[in-house]
This record gives sequence, structure tokens and C-alpha cells, in this order.
Amino acid sequence: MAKISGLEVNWMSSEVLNNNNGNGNGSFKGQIWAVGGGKGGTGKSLIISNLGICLSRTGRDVLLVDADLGGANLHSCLGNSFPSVTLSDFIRKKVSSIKDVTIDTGIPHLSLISGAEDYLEVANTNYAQKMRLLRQITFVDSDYILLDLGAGTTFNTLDFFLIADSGIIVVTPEPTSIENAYRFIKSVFYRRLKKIVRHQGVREIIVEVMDRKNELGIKTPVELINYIGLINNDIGQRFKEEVLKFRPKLIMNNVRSRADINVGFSIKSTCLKYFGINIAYVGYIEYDESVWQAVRRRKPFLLEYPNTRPAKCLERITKNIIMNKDIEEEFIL
Amino acid sequence: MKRIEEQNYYEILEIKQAASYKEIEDAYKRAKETYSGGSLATYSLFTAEECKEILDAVEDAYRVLSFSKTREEYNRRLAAGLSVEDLKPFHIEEPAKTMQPIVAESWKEIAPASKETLQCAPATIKTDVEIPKAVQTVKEAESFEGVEFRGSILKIIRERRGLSLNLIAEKTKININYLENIEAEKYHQLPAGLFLKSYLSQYARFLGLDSKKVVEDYMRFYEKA
Ligand SMILES: Nc1ncnc2c1ncn2[C@@H]1O[C@H](COP(=O)(O)OP(=O)(O)OP(=O)(O)O)[C@@H](O)[C@H]1O
Ligand SMILES: [Mg+2]
Repeated sequence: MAKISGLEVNWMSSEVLNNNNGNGNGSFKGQIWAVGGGKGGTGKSLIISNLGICLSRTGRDVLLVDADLGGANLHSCLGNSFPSVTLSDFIRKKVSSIKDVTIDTGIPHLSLISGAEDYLEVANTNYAQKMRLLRQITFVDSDYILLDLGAGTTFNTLDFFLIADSGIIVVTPEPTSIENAYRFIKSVFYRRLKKIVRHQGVREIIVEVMDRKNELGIKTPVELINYIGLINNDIGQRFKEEVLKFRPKLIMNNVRSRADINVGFSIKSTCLKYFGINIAYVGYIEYDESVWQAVRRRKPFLLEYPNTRPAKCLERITKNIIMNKDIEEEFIL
Repeated sequence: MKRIEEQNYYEILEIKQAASYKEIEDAYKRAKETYSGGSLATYSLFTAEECKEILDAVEDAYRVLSFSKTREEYNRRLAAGLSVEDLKPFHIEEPAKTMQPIVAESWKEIAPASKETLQCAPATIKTDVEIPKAVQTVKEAESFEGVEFRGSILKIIRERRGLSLNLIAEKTKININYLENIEAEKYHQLPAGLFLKSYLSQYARFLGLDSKKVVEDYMRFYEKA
């Protein structure tokens, strides 16, 4: 633990963001997937828990972490009863290691760190607590860490999303959901840019531009980056590189028609034109009775109804994320 | 990553420069769907005016890229390193007023030649193709007596008429890949005989050609291959 203070700097530095794993000084060499942001109830917890099951079936060790501070319910998604130890025990330092709050799910290769139960105390986790959690994650002995970050755009959510190798956004085909998703992407995007510059002037410009009605007349991040490039070529270049590397993944949930599926492709286009980022549209999940029936029985739908279309959709999404691919139109069910 | 005013037509349509006509068509449809207003995907991100701006750019891009003559010219200009500003507004030279009508003799001469040596006057580029009229007027000026309608010939005729494959695909509902393969004489990539005949016949009618003769000729080449 001697390196803690050095590590804190490290976490925020671009090297860590670049190789994305956030290896503190632990030995974690796996991948971090995080689902977060957007609107409440779009299916984030449901999807990340079933992604976890899908991954664990390949024989890889998967740790699901319910980091939806205040809205934790991953244990229910997996059919577990409320666990005796949770993330709050770790955050309140009742236990020293994150391993002490890791529980067995009963599903081979899949373990869980259940979410904190006490909203007020935990949802406002401060910086030091967050760093402790991030550092501890690097000691996890697992091939995959899957984080459920819940809804919202708090800095905690954004930072966890940013350290993930795969940041996943779940959207349903409704204006409210899409609006929230864009707000989330915007927040993540600007936070990422802000983190890689110390230049005060540039930081101020970013803050100003986050307000669409800024006096510079800059409407989109694409314009912002061009503008910054004019002021400071080096920073402009760094930004362009960051933008290329930033590839959040998009899942459309609750789709009921081909048009709903196509909204995902449209979002890919708007994000390219607006942010200049190339979102990966990794797939969609159909709205289906079997899904909420499984939820009602507190069983993961992948186990309860393995042959349904939503289950197939989810398997394909898992594959696409692993292979870093977009959904291919020919394979739309 | 550039602003839309600085993007070339491929970037605007979000496709690779090697994109097939099918991909161009798909990209265009997708863009129309996305930016024509009322789409969920633009909600809260783009204003109506911004969508309109994007859509105008998309239309310009499609008009040039969906048609092989204008696309090739555009590619040449891109390769020559012209800036996007200089690339547009995009003009292709009008065909010479004295252009010879296509007559049987000249067709016979060029028919067996390889595609590279095919000579053909630059086509009139019509941005708003009024199909029946266009076909009508050209038809009168042309005689196809003695012409054997193989794929390469059909392609030339189509291009002289200023009709894009995309337009034909849209109007006839024939998959654009088939149309492309018909013209490219990729016989092994064509649908079974009965379908092929029906496609050929629709395609021929669209070009204002004698559909029976086109089918007969084409199938002769098809069977030989
Ligand atoms: N594809 C689907 N078909 C049918 N119902 C679905 C589908 N996806 C999600 N649901 C329903 O939506 C509910 C909410 O899902 P979930 O709890 O995963 O959302 P969430 O995004 O995690 O919400 P929060 O932001 O509050 O954490 C599920 O319990 C389920 O009943
Ligand atoms: Mg949830």
C-alpha cells in the first residue's frame, strides 16, 4: 500500500485511461465491462447479469459487481437472496479486502459483489472511497469484471465507465431514454477530454461548450475539437486520438419492430456526426414476455428460457462485445 | 473527424471509398431515415435546421456516388487531392451537343471488346430523372438493330440514359446486387433462370428496350457461360 498516493495520480493519468485496464498494482489482467448511464429501468441490470452468465459459460471466471450505489439489485437478477455481505461493508471498511465481500452465485465461474443497501451513506461515496474500490478491483482474480453502474451521470458513474474496456449503454426506443443516453455520452465524453489536459484555458473552453448556447458558437464536440486544434495543435491532436479510441457500445433493448432495431443504426450515425465517435452497435434485445416472467421468478432469463429470441439476442451481443464487432444487418433475427 | 462542410461524399454517407452500390443505397436510406425529421435518434441532439443541413449534404453525396460515371469522376478528383471545397459544387461536363446517336454499327464494333476499351460518350447527368420522358427521347434517337444485349452493353445504355442503378433498384424492387451482377456479367452470382428472366425483363422495360429481345440475348450469353 506504499504506493497509494502515486497510484491516485496514476489512475487519473492518460496512460491508465489508454490501456484502459486500470491496473493498479494488483495483478488483474482481465477485461472490465461496465453498463451505465441513461434512464432508469432500461434493462441495464438485467442485461449485465445475463452477459455475465453468458461469459461464465465459456469457462472464464466472471465477477459481477453491483456498483449501482443506492439502487442495487443484481442479486435479485441472479436469483440470489439478499447477501450477508455487500459492497457497503467494504466501503465502510468493515472488511479490508474486496475478496471478503465476494459471494458465490451458485452458477459456475460466476461470483458477485452485491450492491450497497444503504443509499444515503453509500451513494455519495467520496473520492478516496472510490479510489480504494478502483485499486482493490485490480487485485481481483478473475477474467472479467462486469460493473453495473446504474442510471445517472454522477462523477462516480462516469469514472467507472471510463476505466472500463467496454463501456456499454443500454437504450430503449423512446425519446426519454435516448435523450438521457445522449446526455450521458456527452458527460462521459467531456470528462474524458478534461482528464487528459491540464491546460486551464482549454478546460474552461470545454466547460463553456458543454452549454450548447455558449458564446463561442460551438455546437458540437466535433466543432470543439477543431477549435481546440486551432488554439493548441498538440492538445487538438491528443483529443483527436482520444476520440478515435473512445468507442462506447450500444444495446437497444425492448425492441418491438425492425424500425426499433434501426434506431440503433441511426444513433450510430448521429454520434459520428455529432461527437465524431464511432459507437459500436453491438446488438438489440427484443421485448418479450419471457423476460419479465423470468424477472418475476427472480431467475435470469438466459437460464430460465435459453431458447427464446431474447436469449439468442443476448448471446450474439456477448459475442460481438468479445470480438469487438458491430451487429451485422444480415444477422438480424 | 471533420465538420460536415469539410467531409467528402464518402464521409458524409459514412461509407468506405470502395463501397458497393448496395452499400451506398443502404447508407442513403439510413441517412434519410435518420435525418428526415421525427426520428428518435436525432431527438435532443440535432435541431431541425441541423438535420436539414445534414440531409442536403447527404442528397448531394448520393446524387454523385450512386451513379458510376459521376462517382468515378469524383474519385479521380479526390485522388488528385482536390479539397472538399473544390470538389463541390460537382459538375460533370455536359455531353457534346453533336453526340452521335447510338446506331447498330457502332454497337457491333464495341460489343465484343473488353470493358476497358469500350468507348462511350459522356452521359448526361440528370439530377432529377424523369424516367418516362428520358427514356422516351433517347429511345427515339437510338436504334439497336443487330445489337446483342449482354451485360456490358446494358450498362452503357443505362448510363447514357442517366439512370443510376439505385434508381432502377428502387423502382423495380430488384435487389441492387443482382442488377450490378447482371451488368457485370457475373453469371454464377445471378438468381435462378426464371427469376433472372423476370428481372431482365423489368430492367429492360425500365430502359425502354425490347424486353423480349433483351431476355433472349442475355440468356444466350448466360447459357454459354
Ligand atoms: N427485453 C425485455 N423484455 C421485457 N421486459 C424487459 C426487457 N428488458 C427489461 N425488461 C423489464 O424492465 C425491467 C427493468 O430492468 P432493469 O432492472 O434491468 O433496469 P435497469 O436499467 O437496471 O434499471 P435501474 O436504472 O433502475 O437500475 C425488468 O425488470 C424487466 O421486467
Ligand atoms: Mg439496475
